Amino acid sequence: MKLTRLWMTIFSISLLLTACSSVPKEAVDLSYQIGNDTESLHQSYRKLIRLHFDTVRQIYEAQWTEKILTPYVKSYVEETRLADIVAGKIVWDARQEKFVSPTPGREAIQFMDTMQAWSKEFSETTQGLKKDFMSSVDKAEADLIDSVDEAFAQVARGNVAISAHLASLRHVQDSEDGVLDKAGMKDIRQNIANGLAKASEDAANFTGRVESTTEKIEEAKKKLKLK
Amino acid sequence: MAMGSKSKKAAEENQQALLAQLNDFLAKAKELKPTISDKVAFDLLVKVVGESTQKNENLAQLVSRLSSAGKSVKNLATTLGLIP
Repeated sequence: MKLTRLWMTIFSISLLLTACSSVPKEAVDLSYQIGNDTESLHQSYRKLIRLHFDTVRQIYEAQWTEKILTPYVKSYVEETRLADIVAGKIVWDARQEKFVSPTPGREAIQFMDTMQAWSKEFSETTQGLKKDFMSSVDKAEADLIDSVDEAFAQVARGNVAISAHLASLRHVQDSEDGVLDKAGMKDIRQNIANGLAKASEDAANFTGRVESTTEKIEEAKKKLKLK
Repeated sequence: MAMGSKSKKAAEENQQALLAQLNDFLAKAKELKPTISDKVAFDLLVKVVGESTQKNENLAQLVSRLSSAGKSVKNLATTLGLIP
């Protein structure tokens, strides 16, 4: 008798706690699935951004070559008197920082030093210019990817919280189902849910009938007033 | 002073004009940034849901323990011959 009371108490508590609601296992599975799909979408966004910026890089590198590099090469070759260097007429004096005539007997080594300084300056200048120019593309790409990462991280965090919550509801339900099963009332949750659904439907029909009747009364009143 | 300093200065000036064009174009990329909910409000929601989840887990554990306790009591009563 006492055991029966115990079971009934547990059963009653269970019913109160769940309020006859149910969480199907599929709801938990669906939530986790959405989490996986969201990550796939995230990676797709990242790839799309990379592709977009690769295209931007190609377009602007071509423009940089045409509008910056080509005129610079022409100007640099003229300013540094490359033709005269190659002809052996002048060499670069690093200490005086100007072009001078080669020292007799040291022409070859001075020519080598001059060409080395020439190519070093050319390389450093062009690389520096290009780096300054393209760094804004790199920064814009990094900023956009960061913002997308942040957005997806927030969505993922929210979804994880909801998935865990659904899973916890499911755990409660499973525990209570175990108790109901032992009390020989395995189907009671579904029966109550079905009953409530039918009651809700009946209430909706009743409300509809009441509204319809009210409308008819209103119409009748109007007609009476007209007469 | 480098041997091609004038050329470098001219290139830097040309580059500024092209850079302005590029930056105008890149400004449009900012429109691609997703607009998401306020992080503080979002974190608060996640926290509330998390706390509720923990309560549910505790509840599931409680129901499970009560069930086990009931089973143990029944077994004990059966062993003692109090119930058939």
